[in-house]
Amino acid sequence: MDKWILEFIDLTFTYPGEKQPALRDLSLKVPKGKKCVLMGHNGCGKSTLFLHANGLLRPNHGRVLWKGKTLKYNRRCLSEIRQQIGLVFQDPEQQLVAATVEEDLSYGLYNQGLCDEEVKRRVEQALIDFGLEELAAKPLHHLSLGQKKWVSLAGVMALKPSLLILDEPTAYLDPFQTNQFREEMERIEQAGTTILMATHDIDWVLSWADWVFVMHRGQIVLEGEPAEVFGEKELLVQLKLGVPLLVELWDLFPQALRQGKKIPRNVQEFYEWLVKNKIEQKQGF
Amino acid sequence: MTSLERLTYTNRLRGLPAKQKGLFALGMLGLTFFTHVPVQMMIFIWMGIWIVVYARIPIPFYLKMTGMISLFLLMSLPMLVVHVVPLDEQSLVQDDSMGGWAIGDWFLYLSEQGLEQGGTVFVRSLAAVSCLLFLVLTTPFAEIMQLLRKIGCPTMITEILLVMYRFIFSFWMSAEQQWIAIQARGGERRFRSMGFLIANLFQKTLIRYRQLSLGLAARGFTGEIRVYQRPSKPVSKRYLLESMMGVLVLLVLDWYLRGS
Repeated sequence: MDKWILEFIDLTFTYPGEKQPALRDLSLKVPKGKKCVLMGHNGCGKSTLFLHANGLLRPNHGRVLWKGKTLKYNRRCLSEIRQQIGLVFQDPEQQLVAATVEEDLSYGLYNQGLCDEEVKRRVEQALIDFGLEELAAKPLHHLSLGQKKWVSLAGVMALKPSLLILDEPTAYLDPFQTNQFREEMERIEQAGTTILMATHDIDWVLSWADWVFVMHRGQIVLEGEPAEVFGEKELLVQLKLGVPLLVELWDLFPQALRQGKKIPRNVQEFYEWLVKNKIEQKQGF
Repeated sequence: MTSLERLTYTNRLRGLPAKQKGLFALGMLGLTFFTHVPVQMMIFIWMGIWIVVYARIPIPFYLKMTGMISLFLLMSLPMLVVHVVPLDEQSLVQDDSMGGWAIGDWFLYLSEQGLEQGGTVFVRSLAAVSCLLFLVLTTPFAEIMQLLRKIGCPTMITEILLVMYRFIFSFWMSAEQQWIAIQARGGERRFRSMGFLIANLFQKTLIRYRQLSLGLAARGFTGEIRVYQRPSKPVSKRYLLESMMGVLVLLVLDWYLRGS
């Protein structure tokens, strides 16, 4: 029971006025304390699924379990679960509320019922963590899209949620911010936060994730450790998802060499494998 | 719209606490209500100095703003200045009339008293406007909001203002982006493009509204938008001194005018 933090069981959901369901008998279990990634091409229902996690949408069939308990759609339960699940939308405009950066960071904190002192402390900490000190008093509409995204991330992470759901978090970030974001992810993960993220950055998924879900047309079609999932190259290509560069490279080596080995997850692992097989390589090619 | 917003963040008086600026503006506004015309003119000039010299608001920008407002004021003046009486009562208003025309059974004339009244109203309005412009041009909206919260303005009003403020800019940006997109994709017929733009904007606004309510809820909306209040900045003694001296001078002058 403790193993799963969030479970979706047989969810079916159709948007009002649409014929095709966005989710079709979908089941997905998010393991506690793990770094999970949800992959799938645009429009396959990832965002819709995320909106079910904290009760923003209510399924037509099926149920949602939070820490083993069925989610109830009354005001108290919803407000409780929304404080524990941090949801970062793809479009930052959607969740920025206040007039300036620091005011916006404080909005979620006040919703948690914290006192002024604590809010002040946490806002200042978030400003430092995300390098936003200089922008603190700036109005939100003076920021670039990437900066807004960064602020929306900071606003959610300042809440210290036990599950963090991110919808394409690196979509508008520049390379520097992307790097900063990954470092921040490490820190959050070490603090024991479970992460569920939708992303198209497959190279990073391979090196970072503990568990990968692949979604297609409102259903989960594949799940497992990254090395396993990316082993299913044909299926992934068929789903128009592609595979990481390392997997492509890996596949170029003779079958005999790869037999029984896991796909290396990053350049370092790949390099080590190469060094270890140096002689065999010469023989193989 | 956006340039006004930008000025509130870049002007030289940004560092002054909103409280000081707000109190000063309100105090001056109060003065305009009971003082005489010459004092009101001085208020207008003095506030102009605050805005243009101290805050360094570009003169053309300030002139454009006051010019636009004056235009509206002038448009309402004919109501006060032009009087109409039945033709047979023309002799009764002989003293007041500065010239007029008979139209049918009616006599239309320029009233001397009306002109005086119009002048008084115009000067007073302009002086009052300059006081408010001072606050609006030098203080960022976020700080005005904080001031409103501090003085106990109902949360209902501050929240509506806040959401409107966010919406105005996201609306403005959507409009701008859409317009550029239409132009870039060859929408030469201005009139038709405009209709297209408006229809699209309406749709977009609805979507944005729905998204924002989702966003609010996802962040644990509890029925109230509460945000962090920045500690107020220290009051500037130099400006405090000038404002107090100025008010004193104006009061003395007005008292003197009353006597004469």
